[in-house]
Order: sequence, then structure tokens, then C-alpha cells
Amino acid sequence: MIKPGISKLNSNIFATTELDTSQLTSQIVLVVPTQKQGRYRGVISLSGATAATFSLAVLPSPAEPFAIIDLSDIPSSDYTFNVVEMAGKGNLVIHVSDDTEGPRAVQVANDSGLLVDNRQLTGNQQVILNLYRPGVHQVTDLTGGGQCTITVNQLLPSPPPWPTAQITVAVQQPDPTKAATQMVPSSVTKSPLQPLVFTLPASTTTVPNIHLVTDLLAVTDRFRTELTEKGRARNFRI
Amino acid sequence: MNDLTIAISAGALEDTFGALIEIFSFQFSKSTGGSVQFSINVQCHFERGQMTLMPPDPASLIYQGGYFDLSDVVIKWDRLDLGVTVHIPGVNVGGFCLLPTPWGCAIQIPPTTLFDVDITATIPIDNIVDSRLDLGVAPVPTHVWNSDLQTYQWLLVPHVVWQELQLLDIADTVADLIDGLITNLVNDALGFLPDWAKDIIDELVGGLANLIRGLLSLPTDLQAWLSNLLRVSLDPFDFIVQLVENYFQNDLSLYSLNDPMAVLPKQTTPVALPAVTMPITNVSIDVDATEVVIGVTS
Repeated sequence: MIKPGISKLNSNIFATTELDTSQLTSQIVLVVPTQKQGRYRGVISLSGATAATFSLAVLPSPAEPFAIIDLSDIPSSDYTFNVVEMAGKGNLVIHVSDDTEGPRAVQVANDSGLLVDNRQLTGNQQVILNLYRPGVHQVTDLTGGGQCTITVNQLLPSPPPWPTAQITVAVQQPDPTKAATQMVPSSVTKSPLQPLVFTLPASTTTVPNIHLVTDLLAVTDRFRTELTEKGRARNFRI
Repeated sequence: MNDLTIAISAGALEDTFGALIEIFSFQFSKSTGGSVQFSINVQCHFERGQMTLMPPDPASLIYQGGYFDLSDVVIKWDRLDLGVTVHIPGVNVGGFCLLPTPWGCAIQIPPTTLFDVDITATIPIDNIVDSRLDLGVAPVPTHVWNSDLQTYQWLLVPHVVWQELQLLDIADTVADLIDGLITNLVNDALGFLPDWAKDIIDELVGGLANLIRGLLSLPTDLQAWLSNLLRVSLDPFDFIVQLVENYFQNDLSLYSLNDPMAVLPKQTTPVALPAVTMPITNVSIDVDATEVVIGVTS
């Protein structure tokens, strides 16, 4: 049936070409392993103000292996997500299905400590970035300086189908005494439909958390090939 | 026996009737329901055809009295727009299993929904649809009060006694027209996006135009499909005939006589005399091949 009043298209997916893990949009997904049993409180912020809250129950086995938390669609303020507590098995999958009102931030914690804060991502968490814009992107860890160059190729004429398998990039801290990170591999070529999975290093005193941002250095689609202002500023060559 | 007889020639009637038909214009819209909604937005007027006076025929199966045969009245489309609204179901991007296990997916990454949307497009089809109307119209004497003139009147009101819509002639360029419709639908959905993003969506859905064609369930014979859509599902023509009948019977008068009818005007010189008027008790109509005779009985 025809549904009246539905927005035309999730157009922000294409409007946003540069991502920042401190501002969660529909192109970013966080995967957070659970740690200790207990109840947690989740607070979602939008434009600096609390937009929604939720409860999280981390339970002993048997329980759900993962809980998907849509930061733009929390059923109610007392809604409880359930997930199992078992090392390496229980995970929160945090995403934003609709970011038309703006990017979200989330913090999940209890009186024992912090489970996740997207502005302070730490070890064993994973960040999935969806970069659709054909061109050359640079992913940078603002904390440790690690970088990876992502080339998004628009494969035309289209060899059906475009690859969709995820590509993993490891953010590593080679020397725990030095506040420097690196990404392995340091360059990736992918189709617009392939997600990037960034695995993060364990927290150390020199690199306590990770903050990923992407910059579009060049656009290379079938309509034009040119450097962006950031690409020119960084003397990037196509 | 008539006290007064008035004859109107066929030529005079044809001029009068033709002019009255051509000043009539109207507009309306209709739509269908369902998962794909079609609509039609009509504004049109008539162009006169030929008029023939038909004498009474007791053997006629349709109408035995005398009537005017109006044939080849052309329906001229000032606007004939075909609209379509299609719901594009959810189209997702991304979404995969991050950690598959023998027992299922241990970490499922949700997809992002790109579409869940209604899209609408409208195209003019006035240049590919040609329609004509044949009408049998009988003049019926009607006694009414005219509040403007503050008098009763006998009016010669045309009543539609039969009608026939000549079949649609749909041009064979309908395939180009449907292509244009689908292009408009795609533009409605994606028009504001950059071209590279349109390429990605086309990749995801195997071509949005193809997806829309599938949703519309278009057959091979597009002429028959459009003809069926217009004549059965939307059917503006039945409504047009109703409007014509209402117009003729409620708004038109081919001839009028005041009741009482002035025979001699009021006179003041050389001798003051009141006006001479004649009440009309009955009006009869006779149609033959060359004229219409109005018989007035006091």
C-alpha cells in the first residue's frame, strides 16, 4: 500500500562524505564487547543535549549474543536491551538508522565504570565505516596519528555485482611506550558498497583511546577527477 | 390547434447548438487505489461536429421521438495528465554478519535503509489520446419560473436521449510516453542526488528504472494497457458524458418564451391601451429533416 508522508530517501548517506567517530551518523557502526555482568544506563546525546536513555542488562549465559541499539530509535526511556556477558561473545552493535536530525553521541556506563563512550573508543571495540563517495579518503586516528588511505572505486561499467565483502583494517600501537598508532594495511581499495571494519588496540597510558576521522582528499568518479581543498592542502597526488 | 407556430431552420439550430457546445468546458480528476495508484487530471472542451435533424421514428429501438443527431463532437483536451504514484519498498545498503558461527551469526551489523518512499510523476497524454462523442439530443419543452425576469417561461431544453463515445485512438508513441513517465519517477526519487550517488543506487537495485517497471507490471502491449487503464480503471469518459447531460439539461436553453407572452405592447397614444398578453398552456415540438416547429397553445 502507498504510505503517505514518508521521507523520500535517506539522503544524508550521500550528503555526508567525511566521518568522525565522535559524531555517530548512519555511516558509522560501533561493535562493543560486553565486560561484566550488571545493569548499565545508556545516554544518547543529540546536539549536546540528552535525546534518549535506555537500560542495558548484561546477563550470564544463556542470553542473546548481541544487542542492536539504534540510537535514533529507542522504543522508550525505560527500554532494556539484553545481552550475554561472556568474554568475546557478548556484543553491543550501536548504530544510527536516521541521522537527519544530526549526529548522535552515546555513553553506556554503571557505577563500576564505563562500557562505551563513542568519544573515547578503546581496545577490543570495532568501528565500521561506510564510505560511499568514490574518491580517495584518508582515515586518521587523531590520538595516535595512524593513517590509512582508502580508495573508493566506482566500477563502471558495472561488473555485476559490485563487491560487498567487508575489509578489515587493524589500528595498532607498535610501541606501548610511544603515543603513536599505525593502520595495517595502510592503503585499501574498495567498492562503494564494501564496509571497512577497524579493530582498535587495547588502551594504554600513552594511547588511552582512539578517535577516527575521515577526510576526502580527491573525488574520482566517472563525472570528474579532482583534488578537494584538503587534498590540495596536503599535496596529495591522484 | 396551435395559436402560434414558430419554425427554426436546421441551419440556425446548428449554429446555435454548435456555439453553445463550444463554450462548455470543465475539469475534474479521478484516481485508482492499490499499491500503484494512477490518476488522471482532465480539463477539456468540445469542438462542434455535424448536426442532423432526425424526425420521429416509431421503429427506433433507442428513441422514437424527433431529436438532433450531434455526431463527431471532438473532446479537445486542454489538459489530460496521467499521474502515477509508486511505493518503492525498502532498499538497504550494508548489513552483514561480522562474526559467523556454526550456530548462526554472533554479531549482525544492521543495514541502512535507503528507500521506503512514495514517488509520483505526471505526464501529459493529451497528444496521444483522441476521443469523439456522438449524441442524440431531444428538445423538451419545460415550464419554469425565471426569478430574474419575474415571469414564467417555456424553455426548449435539450435532453440527451442517447450517447456513444467513439473508441479511443491511442497513438503508437505510447512506449516513448511510458519511458518518459518512468524517467520522471526516477527523477522524483533521485533528482536531488549527485550522479555518483545515483550510480550506487542503480547498482543496489539493478537499475531504479527497471525496479519501477517491475512495480508497474507493464505488459508488452502498452497501447492496450493504457486503453484499458483509461477506459476501465480511470474512465474519465463516463464522467464527461454525465457532465454533458447535466450541462444540457440544467444550463442550456435552445429557445424561450415568456408566459404570458407579449402579443402587443402597452400603448399610451393616441389612446391609452394596456399590453396584450397571451398565456401559454402548452408547447409542442415537431422535428423534421429541415426544421423544428414549435407549436404554442394558449
